[in-house]
Amino acid sequence: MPIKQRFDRLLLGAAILQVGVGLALMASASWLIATERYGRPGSYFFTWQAATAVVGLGVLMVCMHVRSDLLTEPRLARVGVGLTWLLLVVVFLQPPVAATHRWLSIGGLSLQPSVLARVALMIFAAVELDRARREGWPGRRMWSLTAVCSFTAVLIIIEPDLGSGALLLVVLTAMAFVAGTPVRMIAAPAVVGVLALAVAVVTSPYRLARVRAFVDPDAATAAGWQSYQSLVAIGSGGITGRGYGAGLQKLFFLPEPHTDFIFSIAGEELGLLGLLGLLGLISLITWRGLRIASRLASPDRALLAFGLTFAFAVQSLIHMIVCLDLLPPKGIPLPLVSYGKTDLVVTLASVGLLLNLSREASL
Amino acid sequence: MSGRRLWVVALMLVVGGMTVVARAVQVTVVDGDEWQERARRQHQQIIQVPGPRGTIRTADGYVLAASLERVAIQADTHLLNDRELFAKAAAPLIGIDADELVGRLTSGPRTVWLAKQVAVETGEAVRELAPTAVVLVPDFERVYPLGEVAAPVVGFVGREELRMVGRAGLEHHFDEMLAGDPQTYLAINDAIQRKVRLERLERGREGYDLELSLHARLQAVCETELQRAIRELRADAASAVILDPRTGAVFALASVPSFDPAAPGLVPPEQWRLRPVQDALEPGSTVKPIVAAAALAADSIRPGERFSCLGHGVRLAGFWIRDHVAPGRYTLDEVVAYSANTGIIEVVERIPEDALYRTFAAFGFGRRSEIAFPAEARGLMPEVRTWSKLSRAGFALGQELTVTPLQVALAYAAIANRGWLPEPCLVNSVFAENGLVSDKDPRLVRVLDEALAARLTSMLEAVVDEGTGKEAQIPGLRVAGKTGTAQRAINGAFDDEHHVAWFAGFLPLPDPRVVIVVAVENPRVDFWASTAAAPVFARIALAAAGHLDVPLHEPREPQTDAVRLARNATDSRSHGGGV
Repeated sequence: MPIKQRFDRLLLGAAILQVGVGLALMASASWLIATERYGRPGSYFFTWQAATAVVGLGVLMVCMHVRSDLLTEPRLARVGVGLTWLLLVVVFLQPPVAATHRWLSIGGLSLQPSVLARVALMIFAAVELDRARREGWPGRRMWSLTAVCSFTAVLIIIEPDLGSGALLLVVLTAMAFVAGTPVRMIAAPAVVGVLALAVAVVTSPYRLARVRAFVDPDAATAAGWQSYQSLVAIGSGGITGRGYGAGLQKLFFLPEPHTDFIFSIAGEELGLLGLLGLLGLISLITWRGLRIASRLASPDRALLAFGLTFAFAVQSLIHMIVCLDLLPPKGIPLPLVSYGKTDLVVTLASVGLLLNLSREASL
Repeated sequence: MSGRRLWVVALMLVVGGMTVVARAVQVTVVDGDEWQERARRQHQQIIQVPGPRGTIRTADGYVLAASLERVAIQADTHLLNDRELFAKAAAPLIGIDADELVGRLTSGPRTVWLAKQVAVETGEAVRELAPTAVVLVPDFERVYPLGEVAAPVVGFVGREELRMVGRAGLEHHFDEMLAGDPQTYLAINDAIQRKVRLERLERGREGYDLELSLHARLQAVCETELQRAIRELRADAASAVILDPRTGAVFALASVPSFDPAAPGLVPPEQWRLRPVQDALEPGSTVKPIVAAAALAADSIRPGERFSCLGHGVRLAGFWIRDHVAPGRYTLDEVVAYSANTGIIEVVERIPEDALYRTFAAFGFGRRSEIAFPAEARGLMPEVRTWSKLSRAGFALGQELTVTPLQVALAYAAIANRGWLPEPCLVNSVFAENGLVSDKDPRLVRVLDEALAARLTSMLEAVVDEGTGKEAQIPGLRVAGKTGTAQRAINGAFDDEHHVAWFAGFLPLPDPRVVIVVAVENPRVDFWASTAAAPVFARIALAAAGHLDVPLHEPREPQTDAVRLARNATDSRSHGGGV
């Protein structure tokens, strides 16, 4: 296969720019939360995120220069899935953080296994889907793939982290779709998945409350409050915003201004223009990613490139749509922008993998 | 990998992106105003904070009361990470006990006022200790640079939260003008209703400044002289009034003992009174010129008529009225000059009761002068229908009515001002930031015809030149005046303990510039006005003449008929003090 020496510099530039914009927004959004809620110095979250960004860029470089044939090595993919399962189980052995088992604490650093699982599953799915395609979509292989994916998703959902689990399933489904899987093979698990999601929502009071608040915005619930405050933030920002740092919604109106609602803070402080700029950056990264995917000769790598890109795009979209109150609050961070160490490192690693693949793309 | 399916997914992503754009435009542009309004409602709260209170200054430019820009420090105790540490650091800055501050921070309401009226720098230093928990609210401190000088006139303020409220004196009377409108601030709140910062929305009308007619230096001289008189005479209290007879402008209103307006609570509340306005006293013989005016106006006596004055006094309706003049027959002028009690009683018995009452009323007795001051005393002047047989004599001796020193000063001003009674004026003008708000034109009422006023003036000049008021003489100035030694009715009875020593007069003749009234209450060393009150008058008058740049003349021979007559009388008779 032809190895191109040039990687996609536009993608790298856009990703680094978005990390920079994200750090700036995060600093503004998290300053008061740090001092008021956590009793830390105002720069606490910013410092951590900046340090993580440095580490993440290192990981990006590594991912960029790793031997590309290792990326879709089936045995490595299986080992990756096994390791993430291990982490997802170990996390339950630790005391819960904020009443959930989303974070794994290793030597003072906390790690979100669900985020690692997403990349591992995407690599595994890319390899397995390509093999299934070559074998003519045998049912047994597809069922086992579905089982692996579902099992991982269930492990994540019972953390509980319905948003991440559902996101994982959406990404994997999209990969299967793009890989050319017969529609009936996708439809059956999709129907089951949607039903399972409905059950998960109905059986969990806080999820139900969120949905109910979304359907009936007048209900004065905590969940409705979040969405309302998000709209207040974006709406009051207007076209040009209140100015960087001048936002008022982060003063405890928005519960998680530096993670789940960073897009709202961007809207309040930088206005519609800021939102469009951010959306432009996300679109640019997505476009470059899809472009790489469509130009890769090797189907498994193309599928991986698509998966990485689609995960980034769909996660961004869900974050923005939640902030715009078109979906109930999910707790999905905006990639490269929201505070979240694991998410930032893994997203930068994904970009690194995309850049690695970009050298093989017939650009 | 299926290229067509990739396009389908890409298209879905594009639709998603378009949805974001469309919704963002809807929220920020289409419904932007509505969301902004909602944001404003939850972030912002209009709070009103008092603005700077107006300045009170004297006509000669001294500041009696002013407002200093200060801050009030408020803390949200829930947002203090370590209350004890904060208290230990903040307490020395605001000058309170650290343990007490810890107590206030740990028990009690969530929001605590740490200090009010502290310097802006102090407030900022405290805010530095806990920037998110401490809010500085604009505040003002009332200061009285001259301390006790004119304190009973200026009064003082109390505080209701951050608002200063005039509690006494002019601070009370002109409270609304001085206070101005509240300044409107927009408090930017966070979700827990803490004021994160304040933005001034509306300045509101600032407090108006008052320029008084008082002259600080005359006021200070009066107060010093009254304090000296109290000390030397072992008196309880003393009052003095200086006013301009032509305009009614009050140059000094002294009331001793007084108080420190910055700490009025240190003295009993009766010392807050402005005695020359708020206290009515028996006027004693200071009303004799008014009786003379009534007699002359009503044509009750013949020109040159003489009245018998019995040295030992007169028995009247069972009461023995003492007299201190040499026995003999005195003219009206002499009766006034020597303050002969028996003579004035003979005069007053000739005046119809209504005419007597009307004259007293015309001079302003028995009604408020309407000076711009709270709780002005009206004085007691019984109506004719309630009079007894003794009442006219009681009026003539100044014992059956009470008057304020200000009323006496105004009545004498009418004599000095050729028969025109002025309205008193204490506040010359009111200033806003951008200029004059109101000014007062002098208002005068004629109460005497000019010839009668001139005749009374001569009588009063004779009092000082040759009569009971000799102690009020000032070399180089022609002075007119009258003594008055009144017995005070305590619980309806007169005794020998309570007296008021009066002196009322004006100078310089022939064109008087100031009327001065001095009243010393309960002087124990010497209660006779001629020796207790007249020297105080003279000292104040000399200072007033100097301050107002009244030219001094070489001493010269008195020329009026009254004085010549009085001198003749002196030649033939010795005289004592007047009652």
